[in-house]
Amino acid sequence: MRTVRIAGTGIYTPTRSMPTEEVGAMLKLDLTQQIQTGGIKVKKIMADDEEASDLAVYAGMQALKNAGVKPSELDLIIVSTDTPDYISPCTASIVQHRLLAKNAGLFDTNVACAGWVTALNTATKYIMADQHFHKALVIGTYAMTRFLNWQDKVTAPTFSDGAGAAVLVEDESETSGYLGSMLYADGYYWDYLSVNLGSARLPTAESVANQEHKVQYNQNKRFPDVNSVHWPRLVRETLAQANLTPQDADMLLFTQVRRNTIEGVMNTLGLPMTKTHTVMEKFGYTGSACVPMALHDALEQDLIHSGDIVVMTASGGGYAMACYAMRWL
Amino acid sequence: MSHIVGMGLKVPDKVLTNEYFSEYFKEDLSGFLEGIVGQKERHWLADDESVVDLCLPAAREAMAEARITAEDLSMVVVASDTHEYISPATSFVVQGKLGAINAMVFDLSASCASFVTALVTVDSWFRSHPDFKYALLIGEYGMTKYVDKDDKYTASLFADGAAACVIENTGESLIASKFIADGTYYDYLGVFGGGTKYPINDDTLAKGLHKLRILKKYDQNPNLVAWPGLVKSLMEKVGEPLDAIDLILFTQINLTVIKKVLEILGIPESKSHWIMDKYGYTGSACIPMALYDARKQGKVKPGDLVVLVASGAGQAMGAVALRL
Repeated sequence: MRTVRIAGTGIYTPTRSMPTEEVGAMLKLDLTQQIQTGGIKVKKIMADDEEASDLAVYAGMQALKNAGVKPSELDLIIVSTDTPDYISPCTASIVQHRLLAKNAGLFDTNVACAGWVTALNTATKYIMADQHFHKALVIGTYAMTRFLNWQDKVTAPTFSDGAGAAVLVEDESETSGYLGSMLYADGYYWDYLSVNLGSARLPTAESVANQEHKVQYNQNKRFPDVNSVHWPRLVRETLAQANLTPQDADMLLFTQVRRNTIEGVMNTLGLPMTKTHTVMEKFGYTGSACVPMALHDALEQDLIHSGDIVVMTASGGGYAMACYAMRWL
Repeated sequence: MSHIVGMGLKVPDKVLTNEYFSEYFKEDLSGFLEGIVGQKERHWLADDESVVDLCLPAAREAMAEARITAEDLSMVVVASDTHEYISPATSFVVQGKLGAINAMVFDLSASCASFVTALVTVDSWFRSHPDFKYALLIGEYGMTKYVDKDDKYTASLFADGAAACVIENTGESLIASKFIADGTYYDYLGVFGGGTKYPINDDTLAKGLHKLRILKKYDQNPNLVAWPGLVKSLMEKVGEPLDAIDLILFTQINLTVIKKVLEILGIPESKSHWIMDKYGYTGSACIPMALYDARKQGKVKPGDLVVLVASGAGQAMGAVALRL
């Protein structure tokens, strides 16, 4: 049967880092508790002359190398980001150019921090639906420090830069690589966390002075703990599509925003923490890039083996969630 | 197949004619605007309007024709490079305001090829998800928000608008699609400021990089070069001759180029349709707007073979063949 597998992954994390405690000291905040429970010990910050496409290209090159795939073999490049280089054209144009992937169609997709899992799913649909698509590069790139208000006590300690990528290829296998997926969105929360810059909020000298175009939480609204509510359900329903249960899963990866949320969800699912992997400790929180970064790191540490059931679950503010399950071929 | 069962169109109320621009720039621009690119007038968003103000009425009209409610939607996809915000995506806002509580969301950006690319993407999702019944796909364009009002060429050419389609998942796919892209053109035309490369700050504003800019000029018209071959290779994939096409729509940037491409392909002008005369150039919205207009005028009927050909700066091109 025609299915897909991930042939290689890659990541990029900037060299510049800052312990979260230092960010706290800068803001006159004691973040000890937050660091302990949330797990974000460090902030990774891209260089002043780097942008989202640079992170994407480095991660993409590593993924191609690990997959043994040449850029010219790619049929499709999808970049998932809400921190693009430009308003237009899309970041995938720059990536296609710099990788010399001249045969690849391209587009960006934005689903906030749920973007990469949704994009991986989209690439899966393309390959499974159209026999002309064989190999796709799916990149999550996150350059949110460029939108950071360093005086903001909530966002400044949280957001980092980074990129993760996977090469997804067609596979003819007796067992399916792709097992199932679930998506869930509730746009009711669209104004809870945002970068208010666009056709609805044009920049002026005054708005620049007031840092209005930086990433910010709506001060009048607080997200309920939607991840703890929906992640276990999404994992169960996704695996059920392949007649599997959470107990069958070997590795579950989640959006790396809070370690204690992941612990709670694993507990709800009745699974040990050995079946998940976290990277926010060393890479910070990297939005649409964090799930492929966790996947890559788990592979590097030999935590995923052939035949394993891998489930990836992501959440993006606004909000949207995506869950994707695959058998590692 | 993925079947368009409803469409809607919305343009802002504010209308600007060729005469307005000729007067503003103290130069007769109608020769170029009407004679070459085919424009007579266009619509602009007002200061207090943004792209979601276009998306919502277009979506509601499309859902009314399809006789569905927002809760029937499994997908809400917005195709554009002119967004409501950097984050969240415009589709989140649309889903939330429509109350499309059962729909997944994403924005897709491939410049002015966004709509055609998104149509193929929706179709690919449908094939793996028989449980998805309806998708709402919106092509929107709010580029005048980024236009430098004192730049003669871009200010008079670009316009705002949106068109929405309700697509039903009927179990079979679009007939065929074809993408070609050449990212070496990434720095020719765009809104380069406001992202991570030129973040919004005093310097970016002073240099005007947050506006639509043409930084490099093409040696030759890329559409004239690529479109004939793109249509031919698409129809080879379809397995039908060119004269099997009932309606062919192109990105509405330049009527002279569209007519030349039709001539090269030997397709009569009566089998195409254009809307730039009344709506100007509306980027990622122009193809669904042209399809909406062709449907309204009775130029197409159920079962017709329709080909959509789109080009976006950067550069990305996409073509798709479908049966109405």
